[in-house]
Amino acid sequence: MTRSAAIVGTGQTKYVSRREDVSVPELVREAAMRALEDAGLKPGDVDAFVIGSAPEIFEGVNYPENWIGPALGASGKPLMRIHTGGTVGASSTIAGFYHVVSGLFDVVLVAAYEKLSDGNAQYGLSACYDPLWDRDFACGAPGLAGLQARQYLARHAPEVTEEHGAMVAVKNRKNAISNPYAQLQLEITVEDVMASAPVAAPLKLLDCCPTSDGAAAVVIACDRRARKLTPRPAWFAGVGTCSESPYVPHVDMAYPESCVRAAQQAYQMAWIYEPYKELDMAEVYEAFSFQELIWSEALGFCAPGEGGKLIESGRTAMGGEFPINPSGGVLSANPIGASAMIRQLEAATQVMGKAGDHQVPGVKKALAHSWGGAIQFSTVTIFASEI
Amino acid sequence: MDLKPPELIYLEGETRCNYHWATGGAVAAFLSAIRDHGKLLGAVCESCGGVTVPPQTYCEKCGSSMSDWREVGPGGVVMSWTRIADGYEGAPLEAPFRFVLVRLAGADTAMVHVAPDVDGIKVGATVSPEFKPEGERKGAVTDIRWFVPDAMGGEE
Amino acid sequence: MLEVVKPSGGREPVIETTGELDIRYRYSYGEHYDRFYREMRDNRRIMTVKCPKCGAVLLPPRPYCGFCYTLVEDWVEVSDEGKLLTFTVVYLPFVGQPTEPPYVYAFITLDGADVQFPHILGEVELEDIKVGMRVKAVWEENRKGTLHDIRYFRPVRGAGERQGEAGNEEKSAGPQVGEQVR
Repeated sequence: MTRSAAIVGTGQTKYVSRREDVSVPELVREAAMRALEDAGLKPGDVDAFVIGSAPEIFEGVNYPENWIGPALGASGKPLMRIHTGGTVGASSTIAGFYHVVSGLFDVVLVAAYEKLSDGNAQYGLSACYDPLWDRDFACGAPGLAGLQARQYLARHAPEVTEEHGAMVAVKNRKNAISNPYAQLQLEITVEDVMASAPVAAPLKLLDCCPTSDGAAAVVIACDRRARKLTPRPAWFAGVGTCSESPYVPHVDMAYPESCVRAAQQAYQMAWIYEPYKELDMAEVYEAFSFQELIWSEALGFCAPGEGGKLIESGRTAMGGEFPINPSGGVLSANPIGASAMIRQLEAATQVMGKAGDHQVPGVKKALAHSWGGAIQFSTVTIFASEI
Repeated sequence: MDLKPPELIYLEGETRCNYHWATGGAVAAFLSAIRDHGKLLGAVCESCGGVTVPPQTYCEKCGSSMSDWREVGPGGVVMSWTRIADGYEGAPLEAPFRFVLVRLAGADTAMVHVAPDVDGIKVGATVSPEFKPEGERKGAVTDIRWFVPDAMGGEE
Repeated sequence: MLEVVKPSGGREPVIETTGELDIRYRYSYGEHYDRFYREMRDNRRIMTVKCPKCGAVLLPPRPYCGFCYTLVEDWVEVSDEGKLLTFTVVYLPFVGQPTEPPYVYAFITLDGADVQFPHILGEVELEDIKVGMRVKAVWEENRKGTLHDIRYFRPVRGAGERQGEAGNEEKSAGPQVGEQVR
């Protein structure tokens, strides 16, 4: 890399099931203008734009970057659109990072969004599958996550149980109460989760994320500009991405290789040898409760099979020694195209000391993770207060 | 390698996806004004002063916010046009008809609409909208049936 | 900031427009799916490709091995019986699903194959399903050349068969995760 980059401003919209007061471009603009204001910049100060979005079929408007770009002030400037399944929000930020560290652009605005209420999530999720293979059998994200959770539970029973998944749902929904942007802010119990309606067993309603309208944006600057724009930039210390195919031998949803490899890349880049000890917290993409246990293992926070022990210990709760998802996570708000970026946004604001009521004290290194597709895309981004 | 052509060839199917798009503040007002008053609205940029039609809450040119409404039209000038000779699925009118790019009086941007297939539709021609009767208007750009030339003939 | 103009006459502002995308498609099978589905339809068997370099038997069949990027041209027969890799009981109504919920959506590792086969289970009580159990295809009489030519997979019953238990996951032949095959 020729130089370093940092996040210098962030913005997001309050996540709700339907924003009937704004169109898609207005929604994204809301987040983007907040991010620029946070960074003390205007659209005219941005050198290049990156927009991340989920498949067009969700909102029913093709090449949305054409629609949205001008709303961010991108007319007349370089603009690129990214899509990588559920990791799109994170890949967009990573693309923005590449823009800056390449030396070609000093300030880049990255925005990602979803407005699922304009359309129907099921059409989009169904169309992700091969029509000549498993489209008719797939059941969108809950079906896939149900298969994943079952495989994980079967492998590690009796150390890991369905109740451990419920504990994740309880912790994260409670964390969301301190996050003014979260959609679902609930005080629930393990019993509430276990009694909720089955969706794709072992997943029950309270194990699953909501569908949300919302947008997020970050401003990325090169080292020289970042130091002038904000006293505490969130430096990109480590970045890793990996994709694999869902149809190769031994693809393992309960311990995905793409997640392990992406983490290894990011840890190597950030000189991290013992993630649990050297990181201060993590934001992981837990669209379904069991996933927090699975990612904790694949990211190396605990050994395979110990995800249950980890959640049960309370060490990953707010106030614990390694909080995971202090924002409430994807279980509390899921605007699909933006969710992966929101994990990075949350990790970055923790490092910047700007996380408000859900700030974890003294965060110097924070990890943001995402997964996407048929659990074959993974990204890991590590932010640090110094590089 | 077996060069026999595939026999099963293809799988047919259909998906029907329904949408209900939130229009957002500016377009909501634009469509409501057409439906209720038979008027066309643009928005003025607080920074560059440009008038955008149809209006948005942001200026497409410079990214600033809009400060004000401005009534535009009703007529305008044809910036460009094209003739559709054969019908196609989802066409707004029965063929033959014309698409026009109209810059309404007072606007800095042009708007796409439809026009009859007549010689009077040419670049530089002035045109006016023909609104449907109020009872038939729903709050859509199709509440304007089409744009017709103010005069037949004239220069190219 | 633009002030929102309120419509007159007590009418609601036009806050949404509706529409429909009617997408019709015609997916080409291509050579590999063609052979695969013809074998299912006409010969009531599952044939797929095997990589000559790493030995992986791939599903669905395709021209390149996704593991080691070798051209694959060899076809082998794979059993219509295998082990349940994982399953979920779907309660959620979803567009295009194979049957009314609740039903069991499953990944099956067929004997001889190295990639999971997606399908549904039948003739089984939910509480009897275990990861690792052996299952066998129940074929339709009237087959058309799609995965629905198998109606569902049912548990294999009878003396001598191994019923799976929690934690029982065997590795099949072919390259293992982490092995360098390139």
